[in-house]
Amino acid sequence: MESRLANGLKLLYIPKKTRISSGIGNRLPEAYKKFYKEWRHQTPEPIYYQPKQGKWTRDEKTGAVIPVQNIPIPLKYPKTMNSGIWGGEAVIQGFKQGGGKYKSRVPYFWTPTLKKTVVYSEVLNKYMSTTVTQRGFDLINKSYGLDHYLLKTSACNLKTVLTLKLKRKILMALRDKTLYPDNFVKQQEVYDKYKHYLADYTHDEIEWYGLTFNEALLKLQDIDDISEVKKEPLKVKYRAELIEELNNSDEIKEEKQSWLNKLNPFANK
Amino acid sequence: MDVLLKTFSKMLTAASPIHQVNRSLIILKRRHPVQLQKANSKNKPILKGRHFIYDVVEYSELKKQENMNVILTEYVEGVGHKGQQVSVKPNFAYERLLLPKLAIYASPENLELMKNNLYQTKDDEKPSSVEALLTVKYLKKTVVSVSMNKDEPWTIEPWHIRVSLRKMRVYVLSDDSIELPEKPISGPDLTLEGKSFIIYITVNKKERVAVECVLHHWSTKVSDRLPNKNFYLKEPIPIFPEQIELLKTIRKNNKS
Repeated sequence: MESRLANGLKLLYIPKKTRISSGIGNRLPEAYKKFYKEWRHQTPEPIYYQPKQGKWTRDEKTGAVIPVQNIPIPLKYPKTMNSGIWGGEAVIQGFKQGGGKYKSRVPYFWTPTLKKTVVYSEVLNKYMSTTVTQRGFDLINKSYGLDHYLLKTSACNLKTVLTLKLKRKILMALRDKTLYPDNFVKQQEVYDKYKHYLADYTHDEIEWYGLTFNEALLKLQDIDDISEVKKEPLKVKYRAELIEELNNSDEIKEEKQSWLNKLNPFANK
Repeated sequence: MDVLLKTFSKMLTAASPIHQVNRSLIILKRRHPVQLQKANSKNKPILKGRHFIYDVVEYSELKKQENMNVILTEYVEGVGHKGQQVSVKPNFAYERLLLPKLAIYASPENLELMKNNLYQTKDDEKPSSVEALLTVKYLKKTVVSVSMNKDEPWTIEPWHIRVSLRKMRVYVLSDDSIELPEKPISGPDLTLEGKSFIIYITVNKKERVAVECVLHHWSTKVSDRLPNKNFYLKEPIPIFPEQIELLKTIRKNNKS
């Protein structure tokens, strides 16, 4: 009975509407939808709390068996974050409360400390000045460089637009081999270092990687415009077909024969 | 949210009673645990106001940072030789070594590459020690005040210089490394008071530095003593006229 009920519920299940599954966003290519899901729908790694391991625990007081549910701490993503490398850090809004029974709770924001520094990308061969958090530094150092960090971290953990843009540029440079155009020895050396990251993406996925939703829509519009220009009215096609047909047909040859021959029923064809 | 951040930064700059120490990556814990949610439910968990009261478990940034290994691609004063693996603090490594490309990360691939390539520097090309060039830099900047007796006769010997340097906390281990000018300087001679001459010090029997010394006459009687203030700021007057060019270049380099 229960299994049948479950099946019935499955039939009733309607997936939630999202930006990429409804409206104009639905027209975006599968490659972009994959990236968007990776960026916006996946849950990022827990950094502000320690997740409990295992499936079940015991209640401390009663000893009753209860399932482990790690409910993430809600994070706020400010706009300024998009111009820096925050390494997954964000702002937490919450309360502080003293120890006593009658202490009132006080609103509090936990925000990361930002440092203005320079980062270096080996693939792009460029120094860039940005704001980086301490966790950002640690992650860059742990993965031996900015390029490795960006390439091996998923979009939901990078989060900021700047990092995604950088990752897009790096991937494009590796895909098209436009890195170090003057020095071919160096180019091959760097390409060999990072080429194994390309296995996760197809050509089309890199084309659509790291675009914000609005940028993706603009790109889609551009593609539409180009295809609009290429479109020809059908009459042009039909006219061409007709001319060809007429060229091949032998009506012209018939015209060359004199009309007298037509009248003469005994004449040879 | 941005407005909030801005107001917060203003609050921090002003002398406010709310003093927040290093608000960086921290680990939080809910004071009141969230009630159990339905298994495999796709809805958002139901959170009440009490679920937003957090206790700080750990300030991970307040911890002392562990050192980081890097491989030097060039000789760095006070840090190490070319091709050497050194362990330094992460911020120093990032800002001073990795960004200016004086070092690379000690990743497994780099370690193997370095073993083949960059350990081949010859000993003759290396500086005598990691700190040798730093010492040379320091000695170039110093102006040594050589205090001699005003009443008793003397001629300057290496040990006089050694003692004068010791007063400045520069410990010269042997007198052989101190090279005096060829002509002897003897006194007491008050015409030489406040005049400069140049000696040479050899660090680790390899790096030779010219060091400026200023002569000063000193008396055991307090009333007989001469003023010796800011001798290192005054324009140098050479005892030997042939040393004037060298003295000027030393001062000029120190200023820039």
